[in-house]
Amino acid sequence: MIYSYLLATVIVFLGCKWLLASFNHPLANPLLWSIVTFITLFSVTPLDYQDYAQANTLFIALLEPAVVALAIPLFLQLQQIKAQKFAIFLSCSVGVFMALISGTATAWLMTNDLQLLLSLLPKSVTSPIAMAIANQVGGIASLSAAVVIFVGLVGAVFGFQILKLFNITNKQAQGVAMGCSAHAIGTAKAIEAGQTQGAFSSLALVICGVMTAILAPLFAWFIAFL
Amino acid sequence: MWSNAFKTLIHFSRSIAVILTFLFLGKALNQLTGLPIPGSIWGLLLLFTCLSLRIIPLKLVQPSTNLLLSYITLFFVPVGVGLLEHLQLLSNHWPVIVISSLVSTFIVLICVGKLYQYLIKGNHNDL
Repeated sequence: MIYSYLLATVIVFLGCKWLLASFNHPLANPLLWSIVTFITLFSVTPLDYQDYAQANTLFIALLEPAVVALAIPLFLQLQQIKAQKFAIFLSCSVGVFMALISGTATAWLMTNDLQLLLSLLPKSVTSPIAMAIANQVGGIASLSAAVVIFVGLVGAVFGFQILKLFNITNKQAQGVAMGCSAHAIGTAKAIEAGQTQGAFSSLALVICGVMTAILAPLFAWFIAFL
Repeated sequence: MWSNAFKTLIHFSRSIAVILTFLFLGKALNQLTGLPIPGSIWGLLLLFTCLSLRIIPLKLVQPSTNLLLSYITLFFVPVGVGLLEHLQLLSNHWPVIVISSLVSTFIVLICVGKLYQYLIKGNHNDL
């Protein structure tokens, strides 16, 4: 019965959450260790990952209505968002440029593989947008999707630690930074941190996603000239 | 007591139906516009607009959204396990991917956080 894998996801996740609850370290992240557990399981045992994937399509499908549901925390913060619309818009614009430039520049120092550079371009936005951009600019969509997940995990695991380290204590600032840098996985972590962080992260996720969809093709055109 | 449980169930189902309707509308917009913006993001924007314009009352959608959002991290577990399928592709380029992802994510976090805090200086009502 492959659907026991659906239950396995729930049990492993709740188990990790319970086990790691007492550790106050960024690496004590239940999402990270649930993923590590399953990847190890399917790498070292003859169990078939395809069965797992098939059983868990339900959870992946639930992500779509969950993203629509982000409209509620956003609406609850409507007054605060209106009051800071200029700061939000400017921060997201700078964030999108920074993500595109810093990601490409760092990668460019290490490789001249154009297809790889183009696949890394949409790494800070939510995966459906990233895959569409990759297809459009000539990157490898599945590589982009994988990098997006990795970036999301980096943000979810280290994000709040980094923000604290640099004295970024304002809840709205934390939310915007998480949404800009680590899209939906970062937003999931921001929701755990609090309602304000969750709402501002959702907002940044949407604004940065749309801006990146517009700007990435222009960047790709520029990279191809380098 | 039974009538209360029944009411809760009705409210919950109604709220799910509203969310799915907006997801469907979002997907339609994605198809119609052909833009690289996914249906779920269009759905979010449409629902947010309708809530803001008081076309849809908050009470109608809220019952199921708390549940959906409190488990959103759980839904990302199978997404992350999906990295397994790209292990080959990732391992071919892992130094570039790991370093540029780490550096870029940290730069964006710090710059955006600092900039936003600077821009709203003097308005500390939500600290």
